[in-house]
Amino acid sequence: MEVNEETVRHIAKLARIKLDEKEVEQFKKDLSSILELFSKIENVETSDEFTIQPVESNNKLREDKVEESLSEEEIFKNTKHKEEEFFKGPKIK
Amino acid sequence: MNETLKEAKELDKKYDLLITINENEERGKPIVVKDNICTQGLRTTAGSKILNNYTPVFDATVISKLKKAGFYTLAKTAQDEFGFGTFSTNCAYKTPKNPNDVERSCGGSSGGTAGYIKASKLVSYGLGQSTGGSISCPAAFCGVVGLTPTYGLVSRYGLIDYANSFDKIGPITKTVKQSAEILNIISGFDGKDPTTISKPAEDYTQYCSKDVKGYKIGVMKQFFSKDVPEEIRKSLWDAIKKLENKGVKYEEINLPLQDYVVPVYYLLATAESSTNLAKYCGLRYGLTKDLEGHYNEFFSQVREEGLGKEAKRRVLLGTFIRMVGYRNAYYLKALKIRTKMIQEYKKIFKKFDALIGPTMPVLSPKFTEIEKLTPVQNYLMDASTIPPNLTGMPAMSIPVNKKGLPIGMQIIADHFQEGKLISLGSAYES
Repeated sequence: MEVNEETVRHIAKLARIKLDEKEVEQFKKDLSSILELFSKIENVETSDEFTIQPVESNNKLREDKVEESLSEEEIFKNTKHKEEEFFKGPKIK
Repeated sequence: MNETLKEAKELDKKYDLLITINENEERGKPIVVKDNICTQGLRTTAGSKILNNYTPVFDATVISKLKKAGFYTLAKTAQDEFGFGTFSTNCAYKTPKNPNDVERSCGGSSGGTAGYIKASKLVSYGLGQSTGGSISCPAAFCGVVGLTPTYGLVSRYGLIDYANSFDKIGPITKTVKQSAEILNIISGFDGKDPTTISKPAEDYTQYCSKDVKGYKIGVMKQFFSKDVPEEIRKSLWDAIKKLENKGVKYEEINLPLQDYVVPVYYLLATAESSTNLAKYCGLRYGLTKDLEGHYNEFFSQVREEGLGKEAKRRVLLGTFIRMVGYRNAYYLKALKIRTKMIQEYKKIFKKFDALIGPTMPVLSPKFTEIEKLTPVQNYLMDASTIPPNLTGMPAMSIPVNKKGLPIGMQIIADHFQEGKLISLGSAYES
């Protein structure tokens, strides 16, 4: 499958990754050859059963009671974007 | 400075194996830990620039358990960024060099751990993590033991994820028995990871002395093709004959769906990783900038700067696969093949106790050779380590030659049959 530059720019936008022109060119080439490898799987006959987890596990619920968790100081320890007790983000508009 | 810390600095200088060294002179048994496992108060980067300044405020469950058992983290080891690689060459920091030959790769992505366990005279225990072969591959290239447990046997809480339905933390050690000791400590249900399995605890070390007479193994024929160097094939057959002398019976078998494992694995793993890496946006932790401009612009700039080339490639690929119009043809189809594979492997394990073959189709390559590989050639190197990882089955790589570059034998067993891997591995070692 051939991926064009427009598609690479579109998925980069969806993935929120800024690319320069050289990268667009490089990933266009890489993605095309990788997707060609992927297209092989069309030939496999399967049933409709699909696997999300390779080993089955049942839902396990804990008792609904308060447990110890991180302190406010710990939660904000790795950011400089803090205001009062909130994470501060960039402008939406 | 104590001897262990001194050795860590010396080995790091020589082989570039470590990202962060724990400078506190701690007491207990030292263990080296892959850098995608969170350690409280000790920098944890997952080999990525986007987590350059990240110091966890909590321990991963495996680390809490090891601490209780008397271990301390001596150092965090070099790895491919987020585990994205087969040779530990996609690193934001150092590229670890193979202690057997510094012009060659340690293998990936847990390359730093495997290299350290090989080189160290004082440390025998390490933690790695596997998504598609990242414990087995470096264990084989460095010449140490690597055990990838059944999916869900060991808690992933505090693991910086690559692909949630694949990731497994496991031991990398000098001997099979040491891997069993670590598995005893780190396995078991964890309320913080709902995918861990509740099952009665086992003493894995008891399997080290178990007689393997009457075991039936399948020799995976596809991994003995003429493209595989003769010395690898020969070492493997010598090892199989050694097991035969201990009463193990073998039969050659063809693995089902082997032609499809690389595409199915990379489809699913990149789809999952593209969603996992969405959290690195420069707000709560990790690399950031001043809050200027529109939020999309802000996120895109942080990620442009913080993610390496292979991480970008995999995120783009995974994003593409999940797009409307491609999701059914690629992602859903791959999930269905995964089901079929698990069913086929379950059938095989009704007949065999374990499967055996070379861990890797090549000897550890030189860095100059790795540079020339295309992404597709690179991904195809994982063909023999992917099957257990896709099916969630446990696997172990053990070294099977004494001279020359290390060669690994991969043993695969059915879900939760780690005991059989340990018995066969120990029988080979003794």
